[in-house]
Amino acid sequence: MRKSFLRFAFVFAAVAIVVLSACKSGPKDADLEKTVTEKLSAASTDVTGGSATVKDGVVTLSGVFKDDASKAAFETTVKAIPGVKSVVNNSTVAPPAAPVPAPVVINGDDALKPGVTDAIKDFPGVKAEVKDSIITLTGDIKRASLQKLMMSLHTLKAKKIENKLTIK
Amino acid sequence: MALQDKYKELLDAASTSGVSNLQVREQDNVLYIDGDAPTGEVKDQLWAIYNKIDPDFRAADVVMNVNVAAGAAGTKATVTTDSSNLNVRKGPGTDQPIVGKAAHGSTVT
Repeated sequence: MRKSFLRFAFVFAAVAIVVLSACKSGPKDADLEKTVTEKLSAASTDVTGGSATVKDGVVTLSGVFKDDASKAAFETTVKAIPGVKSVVNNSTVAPPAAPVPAPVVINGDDALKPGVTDAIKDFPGVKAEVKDSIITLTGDIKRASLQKLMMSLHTLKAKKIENKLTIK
Repeated sequence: MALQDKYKELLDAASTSGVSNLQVREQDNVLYIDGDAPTGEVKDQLWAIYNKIDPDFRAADVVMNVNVAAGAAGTKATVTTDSSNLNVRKGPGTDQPIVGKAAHGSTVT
């Protein structure tokens, strides 16, 4: 009689532990994982390669977020899901995109002309025309002087420099 | 990117020779190279390479606006005008009044 009571008590205790622990863990890990994954796909503009695993209510996040703010915001969202005990955030933030190079500054004809006149004044025989920000050189020049002329013309921010000079 | 390949030697030289604020941009089939060269020698060297790749600068596909960074106080400069004296003017441009002259071939500081 006493032996069967003990056996009954043991079984009861075992059942109680199972039931209690099931209650304690709340929503199952698999369900949580599904919820978090859904949230990840909802935030697909903020994160690439996002994934989540859940073990004992602890959510482990990975992926690359576009910035710190979206990473932190998503972590807050996940923490707010009922049943989530804590979040291990292994996700990273994408490095800032390379700055878009500023467009090339090109001076208009009016700004170019005085500089061109200045540049060619020391080179008799050289004629220059400025049109649509393109400097076109005609006439003739000594080879030794060509580079010096070019060096000064290239600082004027022209669109391009057409060299049609005859080199002597 | 074809132009950057064509002028690769020039671009490599610019980045290894300490040209600061170096910007290389390709726009409408013209390669724009901007920057500040640490010395006149570096600038001359870059121009020599440019002249080697594009003899006599005929291709009209580069605008190389590389200037020598403003020299520190006391930097020596040699007047390299063709033959005449160098006019020292009040401001940039030949319309500015002349405030002095430096002799051809002399060294100024």
